[in-house]
Amino acid sequence: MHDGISFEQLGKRAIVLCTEPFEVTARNIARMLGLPDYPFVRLEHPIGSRTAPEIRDLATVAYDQALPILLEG
Amino acid sequence: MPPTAARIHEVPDDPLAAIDYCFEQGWTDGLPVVPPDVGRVAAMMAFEGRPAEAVLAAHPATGLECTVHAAAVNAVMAGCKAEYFPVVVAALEAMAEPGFNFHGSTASTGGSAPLLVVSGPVIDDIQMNADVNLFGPGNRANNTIGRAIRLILMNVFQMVPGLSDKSTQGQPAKFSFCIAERQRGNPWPLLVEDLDYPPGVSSVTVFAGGGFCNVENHGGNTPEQVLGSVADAMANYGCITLGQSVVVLAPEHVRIVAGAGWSKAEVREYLFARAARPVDGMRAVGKYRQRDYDRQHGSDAHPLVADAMMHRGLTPDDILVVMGGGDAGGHSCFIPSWSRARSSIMQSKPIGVCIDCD
Repeated sequence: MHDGISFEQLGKRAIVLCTEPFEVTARNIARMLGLPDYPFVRLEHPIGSRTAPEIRDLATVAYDQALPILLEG
Repeated sequence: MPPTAARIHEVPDDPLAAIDYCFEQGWTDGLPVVPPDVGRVAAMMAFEGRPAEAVLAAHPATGLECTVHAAAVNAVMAGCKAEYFPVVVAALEAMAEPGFNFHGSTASTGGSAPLLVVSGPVIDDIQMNADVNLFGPGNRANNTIGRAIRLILMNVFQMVPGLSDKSTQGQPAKFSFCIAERQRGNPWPLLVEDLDYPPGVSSVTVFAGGGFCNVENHGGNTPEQVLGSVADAMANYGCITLGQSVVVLAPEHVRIVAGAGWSKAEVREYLFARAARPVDGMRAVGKYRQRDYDRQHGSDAHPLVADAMMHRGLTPDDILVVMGGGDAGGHSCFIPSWSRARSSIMQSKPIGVCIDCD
């Protein structure tokens, strides 16, 4: 989250991907960095133990969420 | 960015009410704290040469800063005597080194705790315990210094369980994890000497410890037997990574190993060579990563790195070996690192003095 917001503050579009158990942490850091409504992609947990096909499906979900975030504003 | 401005809280003139007030404010680790009386905080700060508002460490992800004053308040709450404060400050400064990665190591699901290993004359000066029940209860300095670090993480840096501290299971050492290196009967140079600090200086080394593994061996009576059991603990499939290691050898084990003429460097080399698992075995448990193998076996690989084996760490120098504990018992321990790779590297600082400072 810190890196994503740093990129935004430098004028570069960025996207943060976060699995659901970490959403509260991501929102907390965004709040502390002054952007409480900073949008990010929320994905099902976990990632590390998934098979390649499952990762591809997850990437599709991430893409669908990321596109509007990247295109807005 | 300080989390909140320092201010005086008025409470009834009743110690128990003050303790309850601290609970109500969310300032504790779940156990009662010593209410941070103004006089005690001032006495604590008197052991630090810098002003109250001087920043000792900043959180890399949130920008939150820990000042001398904030550290002193939490050291009082932890139960520290004022003379312990330089150890707390040095540990905090070591954790603030980028290589330690204190955000990652304290926020992660891994649940690591900063292990503080204190070495040198300060141990006797403040009566730390390097002896029996080394990691356990009973000594004020060991336990309150470690607790002060945890309270600073929670109260100053807001590493709050569930919110910013996402430890899956945590561990008991997250209350306090601070030991002293034993000098009495130690045949080897002390850690502070290995660090090349000047005579008379003490040091603290911080390590993001992922747990505690007791290594029992009462039957072994050669270095190979004793260290073979330590190496096996270091290489267990649950713990093996490219990370660093801390090995605290019990005096009984040190007498066997050093008595046979082994130096600490030889101990590290022996452990590194044998704390390893076959690639096939790593694959069998789903932990093999080609990039880890390539990193360990690249052109700059250590000569002890064997083909088709994954070692723990990258070189023997990734293993910190110290002596600690009581005279009796064949119980040493291995402290695994946090993270799947090398996301936190142990850091050391001198205590109460400034060496090569800006």
